[in-house]
Amino acid sequence: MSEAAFLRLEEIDVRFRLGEGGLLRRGRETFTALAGVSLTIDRGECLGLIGESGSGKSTLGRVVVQLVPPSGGRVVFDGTDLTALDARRLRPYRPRMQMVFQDPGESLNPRFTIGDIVTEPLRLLRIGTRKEQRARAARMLERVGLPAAALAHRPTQYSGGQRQRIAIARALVTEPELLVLDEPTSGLDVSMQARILNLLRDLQDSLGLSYLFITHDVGAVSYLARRVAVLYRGRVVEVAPTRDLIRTPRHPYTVALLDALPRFVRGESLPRPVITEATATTDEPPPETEGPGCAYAPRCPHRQERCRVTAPELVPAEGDKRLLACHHPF
Amino acid sequence: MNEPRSTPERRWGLFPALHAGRFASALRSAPLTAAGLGLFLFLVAFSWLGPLLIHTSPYAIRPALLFRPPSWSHPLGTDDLGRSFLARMMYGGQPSLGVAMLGTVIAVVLGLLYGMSSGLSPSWLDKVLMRTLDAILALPTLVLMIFFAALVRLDALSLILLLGFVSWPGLARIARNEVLAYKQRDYVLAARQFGAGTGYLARTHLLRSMLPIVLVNATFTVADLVLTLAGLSFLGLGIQPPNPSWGGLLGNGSNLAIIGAWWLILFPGLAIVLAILAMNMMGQGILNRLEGR
Repeated sequence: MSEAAFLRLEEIDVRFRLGEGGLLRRGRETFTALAGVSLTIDRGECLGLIGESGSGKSTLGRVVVQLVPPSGGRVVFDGTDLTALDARRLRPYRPRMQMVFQDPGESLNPRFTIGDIVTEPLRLLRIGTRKEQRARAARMLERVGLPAAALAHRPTQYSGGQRQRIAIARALVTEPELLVLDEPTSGLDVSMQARILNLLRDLQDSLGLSYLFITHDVGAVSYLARRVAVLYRGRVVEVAPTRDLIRTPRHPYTVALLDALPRFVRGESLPRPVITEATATTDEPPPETEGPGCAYAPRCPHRQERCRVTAPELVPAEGDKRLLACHHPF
Repeated sequence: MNEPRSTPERRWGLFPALHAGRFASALRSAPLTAAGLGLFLFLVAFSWLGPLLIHTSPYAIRPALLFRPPSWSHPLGTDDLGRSFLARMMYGGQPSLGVAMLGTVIAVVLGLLYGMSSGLSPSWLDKVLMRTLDAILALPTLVLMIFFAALVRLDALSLILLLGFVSWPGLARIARNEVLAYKQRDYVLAARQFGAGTGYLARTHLLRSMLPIVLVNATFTVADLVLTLAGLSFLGLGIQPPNPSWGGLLGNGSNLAIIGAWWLILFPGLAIVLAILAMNMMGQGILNRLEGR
């Protein structure tokens, strides 16, 4: 972990209060979405973030762009702790980080024109005159491969892939340095996924962007990210260079996650998941309340007594190349 | 890269359907709305343009012409004072339709303000505001109206305000539900992430998203108020005689129909029914379109 990281997440906790609670009775139970998450992203780097549904991936992305206030921990962006800033002092940092959501059908208001959508961040952040805003929006649309004439149209006139380009144009219009990509290709068909990934890679190269790339698609992550973090139930269990992580996963959860991907097996014509006895997760449902031990222990085929009692820390392994939170990794 | 499916030449802000060409085609594809709108426009023309055509005073008493049934010289007959019933029906439409529409405008404004504020408030305040609304909704509208009608001088303005004040709670609940449905959408989150405040979100994203459903309920509210106002006038608590209103004419006619003056209840009754029908057809037509039926 470099000290001068562009974005540094330090011990991020997010707890949501469960249930409505009454008018006088506040809901007491909480759900821990993220627990002590620490990650860094260097300038110009793409960090992949993978994990199953409900692992807290999207919540972490929202913490980064200050949509969800963390219950604990710091978000240090270019040397400044954003969590300590009020709305007014946060304003100068807003244009520098943007987010692309999973479903552009949801993230673009169907009642707005594309011009209004793409210029919205500029209007809200009071950047430039109306004319300059339109010109910048037109430039950005062309940059992502759409005609400037699209400004007058509505998003419902465009396909899913085109809408995601519009969402990317909106994210880029403030000339950000960091983009949080929250499953930007998950809702698209395969050929469109490839085009959007190419576009994102091209933009990263030409604009020097940093990405936090949130996905459950291991293929997409290996294309775009040099380094990947694996999230399980709100905890980082393994961080490693993409190639190392895919070739030699060491945390039992990472192993299970990668084994669950269908792959070609010699002698068979169709790909299938290769789940061996050694890596199979148990089907035991995760417990409602969490014990003191490792969060993965209830499903882990290798759990030992120690795993139930003490939670493993995220510590460097193999020199500085990898971070691992497991008492007995592969 | 595919071309977009269609190419509108410009944008039409909040009301894209008001572009003339699109408006015509929208009506063709929604016959129910078109029929309702046609009927409504007919009633409006009858009430406001009609008086310009007939040059007959609705107040001129003609003792020689009492209780004349409809004929060529008196198309809708004459009433118990020999006044032209056609003229009284035309002038009577103005308060009946106008008060209902303006009352609805007040109800929509109040309902949107209250409902959106509630939906955007912290959970505890939202609960307080909604329970208060339940209490208000529990009061029967007509009884409330009769109570207020006893307190103030009745004219068009006071009736507009009264009807507006008693009919906003339903719209407030709808507005609040719409806010809850839309405020967690990704496009609202995206705007929040660019630093959008609550006021901006309410004015732009939320208002635009809920506009169609508010429009539907506004038309139903107009229908409702036409009936409420007719009921009040029937009871003598609405527009005061000698000024005509459809409800008042119906109330007056109900005493005279037993001696054979059937036209004095048929025409005002028909006008009230048609007005309510027109608004309900429009509302239902828009609703069908929204729900993709």
